[in-house]
Amino acid sequence: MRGEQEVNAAIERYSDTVRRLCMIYLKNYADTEDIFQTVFLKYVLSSVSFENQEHEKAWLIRVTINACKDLRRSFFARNTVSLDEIIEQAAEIPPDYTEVLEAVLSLPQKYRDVVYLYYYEEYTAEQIGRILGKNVNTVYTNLARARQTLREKLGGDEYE
Amino acid sequence: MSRIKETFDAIHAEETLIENTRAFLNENTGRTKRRRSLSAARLVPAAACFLLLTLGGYRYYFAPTSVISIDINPSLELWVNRYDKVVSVKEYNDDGNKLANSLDIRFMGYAEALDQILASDEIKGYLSQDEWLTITVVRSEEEQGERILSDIESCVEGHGNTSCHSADLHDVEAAHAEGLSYGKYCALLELQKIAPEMTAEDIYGMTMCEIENLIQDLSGETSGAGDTSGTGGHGHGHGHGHGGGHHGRQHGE
Repeated sequence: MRGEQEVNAAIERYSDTVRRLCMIYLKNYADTEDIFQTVFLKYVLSSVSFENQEHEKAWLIRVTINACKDLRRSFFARNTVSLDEIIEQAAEIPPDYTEVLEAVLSLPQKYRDVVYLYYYEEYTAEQIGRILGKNVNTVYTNLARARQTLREKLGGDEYE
Repeated sequence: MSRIKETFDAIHAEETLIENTRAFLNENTGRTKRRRSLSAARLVPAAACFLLLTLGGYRYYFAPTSVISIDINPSLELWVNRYDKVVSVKEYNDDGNKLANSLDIRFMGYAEALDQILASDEIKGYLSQDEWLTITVVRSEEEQGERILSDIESCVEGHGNTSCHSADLHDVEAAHAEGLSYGKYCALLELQKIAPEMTAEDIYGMTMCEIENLIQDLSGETSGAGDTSGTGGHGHGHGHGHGGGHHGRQHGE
């Protein structure tokens, strides 16, 4: 089990990352709390020895994504929430950014995570493939389709 | 800086969220410590171990506390005891039988056993054909299940077309009566959410990739249930259920 200091440092370092992934995957704030607890509990209990912070971050991203998918799948049949409600989760977000956030969050799920990991976390398609457990060609395909949709919604390539 | 980057940069974890998480972890850490002290006590005297073995320790050792279901087309399960050792390997179709016979993993630690399975020619062959490997950890002891799932997620890092999930024993206990492994049964439950008429018989001969493709086809884009590759396509399975705390079954050996 990891020590308190190590866990607090991880919470400090990765909370925003986990929060952003929750925003991409989940539909309400209560689920976000569940995911935070699940992810950081796994971190506490995990015996994985991280080679460096990049390795640690990739591990947390993967665990968060898997936890979100598990949770979302469990509530698959009864959770229908509008895009507005999802965006309301990010109460603090300045109005200037809501257009891009809306555009990204209205993408099909399989495009959202690759967009986030590629544009925000700046992972390569190969790295994204490893994190998501997807074939690299699938990542490229999803990225191209997401880019096309964003171009249509936001006009041009300025969002990049 | 791109607008996407600026946008996500503006999203931060709320202080209350962080505080609630810390409080949750503090509570849980306390519980874990108590369990650890029990584990330590268990390790100590050799005489007690001997006594345990002679007075039913055999059954205690062989009682599975978690099951790792490995499904691709071969379906097999590793029954893991409280000491993280594989005490039994169960196969659920001919391909699973073939794979199980080619391995010698009984009494190995589960991580080493899984490494051997992933390195086997059979599994490599399936994955090279764009099949989908699903690993499902069925928990009867919450803490061990979480730990196994976490270790397995690390184990399969870098393996494409692979996904890890967890399930509660209570939710999947009907699997074996249906002739399916726990992992394949989870897939059946997902399928039945959108196609209640589907039965175990319908999916028995299907690969996990075929089942997931069927789920995607029936549920459409809105489910976000995975993806289809532009290079031929494959399904992407997801997890099934949270929770735990149910007793593992005694498995006669």
